[in-house]
Amino acid sequence: MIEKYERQIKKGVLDMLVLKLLEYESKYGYQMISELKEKSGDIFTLKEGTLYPVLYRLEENQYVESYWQEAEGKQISRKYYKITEAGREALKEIMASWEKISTGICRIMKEREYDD
Amino acid sequence: MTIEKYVDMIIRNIKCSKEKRMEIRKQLLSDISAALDHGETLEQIIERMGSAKEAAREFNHNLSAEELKSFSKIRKRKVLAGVIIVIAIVICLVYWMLPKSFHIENSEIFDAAAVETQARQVVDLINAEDYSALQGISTEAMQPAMTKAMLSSAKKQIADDWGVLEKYGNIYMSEVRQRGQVYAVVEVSVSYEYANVTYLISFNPQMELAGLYMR
Repeated sequence: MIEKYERQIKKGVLDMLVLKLLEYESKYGYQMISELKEKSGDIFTLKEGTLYPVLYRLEENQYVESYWQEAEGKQISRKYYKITEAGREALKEIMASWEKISTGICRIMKEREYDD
Repeated sequence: MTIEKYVDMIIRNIKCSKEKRMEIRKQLLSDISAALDHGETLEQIIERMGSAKEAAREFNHNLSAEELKSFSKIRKRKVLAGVIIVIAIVICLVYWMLPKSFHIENSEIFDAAAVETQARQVVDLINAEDYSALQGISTEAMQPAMTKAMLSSAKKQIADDWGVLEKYGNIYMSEVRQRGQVYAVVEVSVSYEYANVTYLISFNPQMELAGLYMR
């Protein structure tokens, strides 16, 4: 049951996290999965079946754009994603919302502590 | 299990347009290749991604409603197309099986006069009980039926003694096509002294006796 709630909470922040990952550098799918896992301390262990639809949705909204690039010394090229200007604006707004929401959540969750 | 086989098994079960599935396939092959380059084994990759069915389920769970709706629409169209094709085949089959006939005057295969002459000859040979000659103008399949025993038994069903032939009555001739076969069919009424007999005689394009019915 906990897994179900965890999944729901994580799902709500995925777009923001993926845009954040792409803020300074274009990345490909496996790279994003590895970084999310490492930087979150294994909290976000995404599978391709979750990441790809997020990327497709962000691309439909023109927050990211994709391109295929040959990897050095490799036969198979890689699909890179790059944040757009609209994506940067969206990331700023989403992060601001996230701050507001998480502050509000913290206030509720720590209610008893304040009263004590 | 190869990478391609694993990825193809995933793709087969993803519910989206063919275009999207091909895109996902290409991207999966690329990312799995990257994972292998970073030291993961295929077994570790499959353990991380899940079985092909599980991986496909993950995609289906997260794909947009539009993609899933589009897949459902395409699938319904394919099913409908399949049903229409099956119905069309059945209709063609039934049409092919049903007999189609038209007047022998319009036949491009049979000559009306020759058919009438041959039909009268059949009747005459039956009357003359010349079974050897009858077999001589019959198809191989018909020959065993053109015997004294068989034809006498058939004649007795109508009357014990027909008497002598008095006159030919109406004669109707048509070309009949059924199941890819073509026949000239003659219905001729003959009056005998003690019986009226209607013959239904069929000839193949080689003018061999292919069918005989008396009533």
